[in-house]
Amino acid sequence: MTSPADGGAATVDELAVLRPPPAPERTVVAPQPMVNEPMVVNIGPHHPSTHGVLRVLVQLDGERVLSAKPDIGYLHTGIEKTFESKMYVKGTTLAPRMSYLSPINNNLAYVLTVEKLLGVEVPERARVVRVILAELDRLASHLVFLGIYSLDLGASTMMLYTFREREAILDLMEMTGGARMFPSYIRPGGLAYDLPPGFEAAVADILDRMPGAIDQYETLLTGNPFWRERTRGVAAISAEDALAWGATGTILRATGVAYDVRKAEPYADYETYDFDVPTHTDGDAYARYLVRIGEMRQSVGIAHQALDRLPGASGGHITADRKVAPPPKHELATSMESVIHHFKLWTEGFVVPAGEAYVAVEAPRGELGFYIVADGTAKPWRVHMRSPSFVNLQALETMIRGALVADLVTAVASLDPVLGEVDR
Amino acid sequence: MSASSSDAGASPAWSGPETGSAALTPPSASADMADLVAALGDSALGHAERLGEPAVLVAATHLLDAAGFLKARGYTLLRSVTAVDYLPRQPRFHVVYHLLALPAGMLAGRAERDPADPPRAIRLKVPVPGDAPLVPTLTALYPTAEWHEREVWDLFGIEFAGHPDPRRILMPDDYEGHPLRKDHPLVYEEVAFTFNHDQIDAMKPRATS
Repeated sequence: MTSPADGGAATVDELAVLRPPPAPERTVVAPQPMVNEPMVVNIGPHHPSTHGVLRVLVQLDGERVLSAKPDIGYLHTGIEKTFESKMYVKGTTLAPRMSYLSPINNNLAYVLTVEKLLGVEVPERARVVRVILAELDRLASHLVFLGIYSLDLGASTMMLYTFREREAILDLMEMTGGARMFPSYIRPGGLAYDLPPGFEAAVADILDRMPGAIDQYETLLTGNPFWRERTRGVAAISAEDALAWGATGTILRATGVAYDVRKAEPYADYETYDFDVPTHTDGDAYARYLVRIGEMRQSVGIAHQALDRLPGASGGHITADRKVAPPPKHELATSMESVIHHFKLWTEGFVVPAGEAYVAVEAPRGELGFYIVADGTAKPWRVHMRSPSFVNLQALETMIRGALVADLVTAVASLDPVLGEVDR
Repeated sequence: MSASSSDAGASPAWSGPETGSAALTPPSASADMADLVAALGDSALGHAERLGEPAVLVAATHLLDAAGFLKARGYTLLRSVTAVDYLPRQPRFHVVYHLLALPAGMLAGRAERDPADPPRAIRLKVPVPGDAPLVPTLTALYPTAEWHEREVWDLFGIEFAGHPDPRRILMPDDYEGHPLRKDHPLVYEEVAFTFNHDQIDAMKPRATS
């Protein structure tokens, strides 16, 4: 402050001391030229679009995927180790729990392997029922695929429609074994018990509804420009790459290779059913969708044929071999031998002769193989599952490299992995 | 709870050929097995066809030869790689490979099974000793072997020489031990402290010791 007695105003220089010193140039972040440094993004294990606890480590260059490494094992339960301390018949309830979307096919694959080692003959009626259930299971699994796949891509209406039909199929499963998802109805030698009354009519009812329902899904999706835009040319893989990475099922058939275990190594009399194996040549996410839609139509046809055979099919629901199949309940009151058989079967279990077998079935996700080593006791020495989800997931990186990160959601959904099956 | 503790394990008595119909005109896995055994000579430790599944026991040193031979024969699909622990027996482990040859018709999109050219399936088994088990990797021939072999390393502790990414796959990275080995502790893990670690470890039930 200047005083009037000084007779003049302060000079500019004097005032300058009041002014704060000029701020130094900001050098906290030195200016750098823009570089394309890849960014690693961690997707999952908790993410709505990864279908369970799948973690993918994605390396990105902007929006482009440089690499995508799946990191699995979050759902590992050691189910193969558990098998080693269970009687063979208990394995029938254990095997389906590996894949909660296709439990019947898991159940069937395990039972077929045990039956091969046992050398037991399964009555025709049981074989026909197995085909009906396996195809219904395929339908239910593809319905979940369709609903979740479209939900991931933003078409949320679809899921309401597909779950409507899936619920009806799960009601049928409940009729057979009492449980919606894990009926464990297929047992070594045949079935747990005969079909309940009204089952055939209920199956026929759903099979009659399915073609119209599939038409409805196709109306919503197949020609939909947004759907085609999101899936065509996305996550494509060549037939050579698919084979090299061991991919089977719809992934392989969408590339033009018509490998279907039901045709290549028929089981449960599939060679006597008349059906086509839908294929496509594009190998992309849209082709996988089309192949699955085609498979659903074929499944309806196979189930219809099996349903027609059911009344004329010979034999009971399970083999008459009492060393494998438990005696009927009414015999326990009259036959000492049956009581002994019953007691031996439910305490010790049946003995499987030493040997090893690999049996594959065409599960909804591809080739599902069981490799069982038997040591001549009532428990398996080793059970290995060749699960299709595990092997197919390995092809993810080949599909998605160079694509946009948003297509990763499409790629994972089009693989339709079940993480319980991946991690086992 | 007692686990199955057969002293023999499953013992396939590897013997001479028991296939009576090896000389059929259409290609068959049995014929491929016979040719593979002839090509490998002494390295084929045995072969058998039981339950319609041809299998060849190959020395680890000649696994790549055997796989290369089969791949040239059209076995394009490696279905699975796994292992079996026959603990009291020697050699302790068998690494098991399942291979499938798809006929040309299926590769070209025709699904129907052609009796003149059916799909062929064969099994390769490689015996491996219990201490420092080592097998060559098949990832160069079959990329799909990568995860299968990681799983076998993780659960059995069998090493694959030349594997591009030899890490655990299912168990946590810091896990100790290989759970599918028959001498791995079963059931739960009691909390162990330094002073009673050995005592608790000795009480753990094992399938075989």
